Amino acid sequence: MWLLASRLEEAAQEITRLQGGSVTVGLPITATPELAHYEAHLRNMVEWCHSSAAEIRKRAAVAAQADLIGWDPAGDNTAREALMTAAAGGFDEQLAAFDALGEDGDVAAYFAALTPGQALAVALARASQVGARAGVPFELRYAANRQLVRQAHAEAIRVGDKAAADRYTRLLNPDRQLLLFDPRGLGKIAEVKGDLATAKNVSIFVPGTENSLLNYLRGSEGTLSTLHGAATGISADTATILWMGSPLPQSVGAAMFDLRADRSAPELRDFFDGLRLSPEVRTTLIGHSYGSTVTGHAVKAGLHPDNLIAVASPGWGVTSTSELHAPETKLFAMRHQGDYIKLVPPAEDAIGFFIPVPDTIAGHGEDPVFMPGVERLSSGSESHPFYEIDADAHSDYFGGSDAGRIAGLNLARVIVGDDYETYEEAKAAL
Amino acid sequence: MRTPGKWWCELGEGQAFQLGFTAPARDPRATVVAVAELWRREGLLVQMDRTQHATRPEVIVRGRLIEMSVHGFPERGTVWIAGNTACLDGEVPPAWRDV
Repeated sequence: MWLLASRLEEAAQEITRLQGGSVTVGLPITATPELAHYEAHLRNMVEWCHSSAAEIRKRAAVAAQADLIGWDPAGDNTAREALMTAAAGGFDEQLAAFDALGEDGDVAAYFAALTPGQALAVALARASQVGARAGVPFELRYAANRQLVRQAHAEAIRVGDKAAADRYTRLLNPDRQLLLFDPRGLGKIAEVKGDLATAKNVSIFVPGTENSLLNYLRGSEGTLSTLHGAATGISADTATILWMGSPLPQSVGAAMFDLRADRSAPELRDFFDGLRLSPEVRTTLIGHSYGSTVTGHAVKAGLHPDNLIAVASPGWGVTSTSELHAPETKLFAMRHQGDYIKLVPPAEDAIGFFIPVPDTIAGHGEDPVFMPGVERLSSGSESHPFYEIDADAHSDYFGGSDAGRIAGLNLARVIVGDDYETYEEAKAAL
Repeated sequence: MRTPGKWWCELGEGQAFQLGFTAPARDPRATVVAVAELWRREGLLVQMDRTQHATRPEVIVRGRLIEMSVHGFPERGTVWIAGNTACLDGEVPPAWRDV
C-alpha cells in the first residue's frame, strides 16, 4: 500500500513535470489551443493521484497497526481483525464520526452507540487519542494502551534498545490493564489491578522520588501488587490503580521543591475525575514519599477522595488540614519509627537559611503524622525505638521487609473500610 | 480459593513468593485462634495479635524466611490465610514456591 501511494505521487509529479515544470497543472504555453480541453482533465487526474495517495497512506497506517499485533493461529485475533477491517474501509463512518468529536465531544455516548467490534476498531485505530481519554469504557482504554505499548515495543526493536523492548514485552502480558501509557521522556503509566467497572473500593497509589517508567517493573509494580493483594484478601470487590501520569522528581534535591507536585496535581485530579466512579464507591488516595506531596496538592486542586493516606511523607504541602479544603475526606498518615523522612525539614528551613527561597515553591508544609485531624496508622514498627534511623525503612511499607506485611494490611483495611489499627493502639499493645 | 504469585523484592534483588487461601470456616474466630496457636508452637514470632477483635480476628507472624497472616471473616464464614517468603537468593525450584 505504501508503494502504491508512492507510485501515485510519482505519477502526479510526472504529469506536472510534463506540463512544463510548474507545480501548477496546465498545458505548456507552447501547446496548441485545440488541446486546451485536456487541461481540466489533467488537473483532476493530478488531484485524484494526490488524494488517493493520502487515503491509501491512512489505510496503510491502520494496516501497519494490525501488523504489530500479528496473527495467532490458536489465539484470539479479534483486535487484529478489527484493525484489518478498519484498514479496508469497514469502519470509515465510525472513524470519521470519532474524528469529528474533537476534544470536547461526548465520547461516552459515542462509544455507547457502537457495536463491540466497531468500538474496538476505533479504539485501536485511534489509540493515541483513546488510551488516556476520560469517558471511554475502561476495556477500550486498556485495548488502546496495549496498542500504544505495541508501538513502543516495535520502535524499541527498530532502534536496538533491548532493555526497553524487554520492558514493553512484559507490559504486553495479557493480564495488564493500562489506563495510561506514554513512553516519551520519563514515561507515564497508570495500571489497574481488579475489575474497575464493578469495584466497590478503589484506591489510587502515587509513588515517590526516582520512580519512572524505566524502573516501574522493578519497583512500583511490586507495590501495586502488594497493596492489591492485601486489599482483595479482605474484600474481593476492590480495584487498585498505580498512577504515574506526570514526571516525579529524579533526585532528593529536586524533591525539596513542590514544582513537580504542583504540575502533577491537576493531572491526577483530572485522571481521578475521568474515572467517573459511582458516588457509592469508596475511594482512597495513597501517596508514598514525594507521591504524598503530589496527592496533597491534588486534593488542594479539587480531588476529594473518601480517604487520603500519606505514607512516609515529607508533607502534603499544607501546614494544617484546613488548607486541603476537603472536610469530607478522612485523613491518615503512616510512618515507620526509623524512617529518615522524619528528619527532612521543609526546604525553606534547610536552604532558605543561605538562599532566600519563596515558600510557595519550596518545602512541603507540616508533617502529616503530627497534624491535628490526621489519624496515624500503625506501620508495624512501633516496637522500634523512636530515635532509630533505618536506611531501608523509607521503602519498607509494601512488602520486602519485616514490617511490610503489617503496613500493607493496615492500608488495605482503610481501602476496604475495615477496622484499621492506629499507631496508638499498636503502641498500647506492646 | 488459592492464589499463588510472586512477592515483591526491592529492585529485583532475589526472589520471593506468596500464596493466599480463602476457605470456608464454620467458626472463623476459633479457626484464627487455632491457627495462631499452631504458629506459636512452630516457633514463629507473633507480630500482631488481634484474635479477640470484635469483627476481624487476625494474627500476623513471621519466621526467618516467611511472613504469614490469618484473617477471620465471621460475617462471611471464611478465613483468609496468606503468606510470603523473604527475598531469597538464587534459583527457587517451582515446586517449592507454594509449599
